[in-house]
Amino acid sequence: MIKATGNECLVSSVTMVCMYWRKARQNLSWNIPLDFDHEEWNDFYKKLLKYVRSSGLPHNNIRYVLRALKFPLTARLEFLQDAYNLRNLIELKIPPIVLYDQRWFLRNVHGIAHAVVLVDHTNEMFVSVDPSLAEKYIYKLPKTDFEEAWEYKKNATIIIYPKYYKPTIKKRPVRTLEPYLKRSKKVE
Amino acid sequence: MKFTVRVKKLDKPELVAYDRIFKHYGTGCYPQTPQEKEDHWEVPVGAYFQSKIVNEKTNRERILTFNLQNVGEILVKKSTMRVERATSLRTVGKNIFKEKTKIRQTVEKDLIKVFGDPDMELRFSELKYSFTGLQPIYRTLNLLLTEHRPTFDEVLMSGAHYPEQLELIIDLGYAKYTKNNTLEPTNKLKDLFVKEKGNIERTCEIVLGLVVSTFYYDLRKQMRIAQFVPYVRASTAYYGDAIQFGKLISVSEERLQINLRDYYKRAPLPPRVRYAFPVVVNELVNARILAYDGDYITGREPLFEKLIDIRSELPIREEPFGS
Repeated sequence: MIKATGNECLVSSVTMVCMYWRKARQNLSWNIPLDFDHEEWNDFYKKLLKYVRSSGLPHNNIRYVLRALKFPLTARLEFLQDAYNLRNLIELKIPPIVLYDQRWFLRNVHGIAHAVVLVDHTNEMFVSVDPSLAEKYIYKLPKTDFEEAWEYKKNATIIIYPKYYKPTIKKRPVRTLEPYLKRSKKVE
Repeated sequence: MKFTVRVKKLDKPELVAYDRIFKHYGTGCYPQTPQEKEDHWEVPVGAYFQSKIVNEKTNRERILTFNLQNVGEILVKKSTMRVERATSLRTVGKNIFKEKTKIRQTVEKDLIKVFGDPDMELRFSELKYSFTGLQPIYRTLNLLLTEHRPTFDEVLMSGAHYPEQLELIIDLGYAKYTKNNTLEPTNKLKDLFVKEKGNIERTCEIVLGLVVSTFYYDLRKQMRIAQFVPYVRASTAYYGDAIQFGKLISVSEERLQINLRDYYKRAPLPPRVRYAFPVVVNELVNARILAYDGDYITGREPLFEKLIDIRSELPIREEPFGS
């Protein structure tokens, strides 16, 4: 687990997910050792840190680093439809990195998007690994409050998975029924 | 292995903007309220910028977030719901930097104002290098307070830049030329001299403080006297962090130097005023602008109290978790 402060939370989360895949899919063509204390993991973390700008870490840079280092992984940024999709990913053992408004979650005021890795869920909670809570890391997020804070960042989720996985992306409109109802009224 | 993810269709300008922001700018940015135009949506981009302040003596860290508005713009075409035009990442970075510069300038301006306050009892004569640039003022004040009355020709003979600098104390009302072109002290200077119990050194220091405080930017840009700029910058780097932290902090010399570089990134100094940093710090301590706290550097309470009100003007919030 990697400690993070400030803008480093996404970098730490990405590194941790890469470590997870390194251990979970050992048969893939990895060019990085399994020993997480090895210097190369530190180099990977530092390389990602280089792309953290004053505006944060752009998602495109995560893809770029994974490709440049020839990791057998790829990353996607998606705006998930709802929390059921998160649950599905967790059950498929694909740990999603969620971007949520942590300040809204804690204090009901808007703030920066905070990245955590979701590793498990119960009926009422999501279990997250939060790099900003170093030493403790594991933090349980009540689903209702989390969903509200996550929605403020449009349910943004970064999914890192092995390249051979074949995701099917099904797009659903976000629009409420209002415009359709208005239209149907006009027709009448 | 196959898996299915159900995602939102990018059919709202805010969502399209979020997609662009997270992919190209970073997670620190967010779309502000979209504005509807004829055939497109105009989405201004805001940014949360994080600043980490450390009190090295107590090993306490605070992460503060600046909420900066309008650092970029994304145009979303209505017919296709795709990005038509967007500010480049480079420009967004530059705009964030500009906003940071504005915040730094707020602290710097207030600090310079405080330099002119005689109650602060600052000792500008201890800023040795800084002093070299303002020698004409210092020497002339000494002459005036020791009953010497130089004529304009004598002033001009001392150096071509003398009359120019003396105009500053004339503007402040501490000296004036008589009809026969002799420079003499005004009642204002005499009163100050009496108030300071005939202490020439102290009187000169107060007037110098007022000159720096009133004419800092003119001295630097128009008269090209930049000797005291490193001192002002080092002080701003310290007090800027202390204001954000909310109270006086203790930092090492190395840390202060890193802060200074960060605060004044892309604001180079002329080579002739690049002094050794330990010397600058030592002189700032002697001048009672900063103070030593064991091996650490800290600020002075009276100065800090005058500056802390700026905190409410800064667009900052404290992060919930600081380690």
